[in-house]
Amino acid sequence: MKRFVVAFLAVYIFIFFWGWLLNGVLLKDIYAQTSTLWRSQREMMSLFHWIIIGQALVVFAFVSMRAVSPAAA
Amino acid sequence: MNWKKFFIAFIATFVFLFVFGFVWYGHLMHGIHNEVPVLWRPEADFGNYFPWLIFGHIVMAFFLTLLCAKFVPGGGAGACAGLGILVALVYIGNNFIIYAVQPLTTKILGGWIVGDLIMFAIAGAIIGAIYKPISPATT
Repeated sequence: MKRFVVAFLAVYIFIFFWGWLLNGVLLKDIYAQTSTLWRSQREMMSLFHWIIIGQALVVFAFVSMRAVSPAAA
Repeated sequence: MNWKKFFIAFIATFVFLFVFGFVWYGHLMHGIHNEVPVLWRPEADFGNYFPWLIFGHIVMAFFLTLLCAKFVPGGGAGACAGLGILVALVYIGNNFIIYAVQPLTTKILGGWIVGDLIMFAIAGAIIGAIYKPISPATT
């Protein structure tokens, strides 16, 4: 359980910063070319908690896959 | 790795994913998707991208089969369905993120979540029922 929590936190921090770097910085101008497909910046910020929940769910599923694999036993 | 069983499981999974995707996302959710037409390609343009749709399903089926073969080496429909649900959770997490950045409706988000859970759980069960590792006695 302790390893699970440590792995979860480490992967969550990585995914959060990678998502910010790739989607929020590096691809920002490319996304701006298709602005009709995206919510406004203000709207995105009001729904930011869904990004946090979504990333947490992705990380939880990944770490769980590792935890239940026979190699982890 | 039992490649013959792997191939059969992969084909069965591909067929299931494709048919389920057509029924759930393409037919049952058609009206719900049309509430935000700006997000989707026009129907007339859709055919030009059909090979990508096929390719996407092939990629999903192949890697889901590979995940089950590697992570649930003993096979079994129940255990692989469990792994399928974990894969669905990865997709659902991504659905939440898409909801935050694109103007999806909550109905679309809900439909995707339920669809992903059903689809990957059944796909996992199909793989688990078909794929069996080569037993040491037969090698």
